Amino acid sequence: MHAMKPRKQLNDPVTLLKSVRQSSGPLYELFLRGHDKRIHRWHHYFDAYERHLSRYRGTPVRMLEIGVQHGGSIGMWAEYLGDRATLVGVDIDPEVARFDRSRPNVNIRVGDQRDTDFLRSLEDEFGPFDVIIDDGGHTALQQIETFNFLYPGMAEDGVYVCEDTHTSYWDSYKDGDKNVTFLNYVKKMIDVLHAPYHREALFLNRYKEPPADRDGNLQTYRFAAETHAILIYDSMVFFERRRRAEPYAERR
Amino acid sequence: MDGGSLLMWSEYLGPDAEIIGVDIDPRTKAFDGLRPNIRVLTADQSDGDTLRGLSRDFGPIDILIDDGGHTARQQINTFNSMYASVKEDGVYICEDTHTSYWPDYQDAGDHTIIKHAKALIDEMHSIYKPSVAPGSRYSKPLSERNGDLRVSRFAASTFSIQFYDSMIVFEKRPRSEPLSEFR
Repeated sequence: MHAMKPRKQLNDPVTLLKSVRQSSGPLYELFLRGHDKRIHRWHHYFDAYERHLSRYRGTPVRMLEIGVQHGGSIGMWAEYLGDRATLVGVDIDPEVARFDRSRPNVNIRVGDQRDTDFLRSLEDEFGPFDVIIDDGGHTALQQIETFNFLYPGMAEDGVYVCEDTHTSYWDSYKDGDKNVTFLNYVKKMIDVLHAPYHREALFLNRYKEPPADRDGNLQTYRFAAETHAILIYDSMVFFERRRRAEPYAERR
Repeated sequence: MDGGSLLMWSEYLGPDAEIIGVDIDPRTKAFDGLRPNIRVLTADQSDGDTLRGLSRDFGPIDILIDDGGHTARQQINTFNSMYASVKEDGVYICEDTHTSYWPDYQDAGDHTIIKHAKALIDEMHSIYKPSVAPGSRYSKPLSERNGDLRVSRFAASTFSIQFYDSMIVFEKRPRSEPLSEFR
C-alpha cells in the first residue's frame, strides 16, 4: 500500500508567482511599447480588457474613461480601437484639458465624477456610451454613485468597467460608512441580477412554460432586465449589458 | 442527469474529450458507454469520501460542472472538495445557483453557494489586505521585492469569478504578485 498523498485544500498557503508578463494580446503590447504620454496600469488588467473590448476594434464605439491623469491611457485606447471610435476622457484636474483633441477622436472634459449635472452633460454630448471605464478617484462613493448614474444610460449591449476595486479593502478610500465599498455593492447587485428567481413559484409555474404560452409580462429591476453578467477579476469588475428574456427551462 | 446532456457535450467537445457523468440515480448507468468517450458513475455528491475519490481517480479535471442536486450544502461542499482538482487553467461551473434564493434548497443554515462565492470575492482580493502586504509593494519591480507572498490556494489559483443568470463560473489561472507601473 502506497502512502496517501496529502490532498490539496483551498486554504493551503500557496506562493504567488513573480511573473513579468501578466497579460497577452494587442492591447498589452501597446501598453508595454511605451508612449509619449505616460500610462499607469496594472499589468494583469489587459487580459480582461482584451477579452471584453476586442469586439469594438475598428467600430464606431463610444468610450468614456473617467480618469485621464497623464493622457497616455486615452491615447492607447484611441490606437487600439481605431479611427472610427469616439473617446471621451474625464478628469477633475483642469490640467488634462490640454489633451483635448490630441487626436481627432479624443475629447477631454474637466469635471467631478460625483457631479451628476456634469455626467449628464457628457451623456448629452457623446452618449449613449458603449464602454465606460471608471478609473477615477477610486473612493467607494465615487465608484458606486458613478455606476448608479451612468449604467442605465449606456448602449444596451455595452460594457461597464470599474477599475482598482481593491480600494474596497483600504480604509483611506472608504468615504461612506465603513461597510460601504464598491465590492459590497456588487455583491448586492448579484442578488438583484437574480431577482426574477426570488419567488420560487415563478419557476414552478412560469419558467417551464413556452414563452408564447405565458400570460402577461414580468417586470423586474432595470439592472436585472439589462444585465447579462457580472465578472469579477483581480481589482476589476466588468458588467456586461444585454436585454434579458424571461428564463426558460426546457427538456429537449 | 440525462443522456442527452452527455451526448451534447460529447458532440460539442469532440472525440478526444473524456466525459465523465456522475449521478446518484443508478438508472443513469444506462448511459455508460453511450459514446466511446462517455463514462457514467453512480455516486452521491453529498458524500465527502465520494468527492475525494472522484478527485483522486479523475483529477486534474479541465472542466467541472455541478448540475447535481442543487442544494446549498451539495453546491458548497462539492466546490470546496473538487476545486483544487480542477486543472490550473481549468474552469469550474456551478449551475442553477438561483436555488440560493429558494428555502427548499437551503440546507446549510442561511449559507448558500451565492453567499459562498461572494465571500470568495473577498478571498480573491486578500493580497490587498494591509496585513498581507503594503500596497506599495505592488508598484516596485518584481525583482526588487523581498521574499515571497503566500496566500490561500484559492486566491493563488483563481483568475476570475463570473456571475451569470443562475451560473457561477470560476476561471483558474496561477496568479502572480500584481505589478502596477508607468509606461
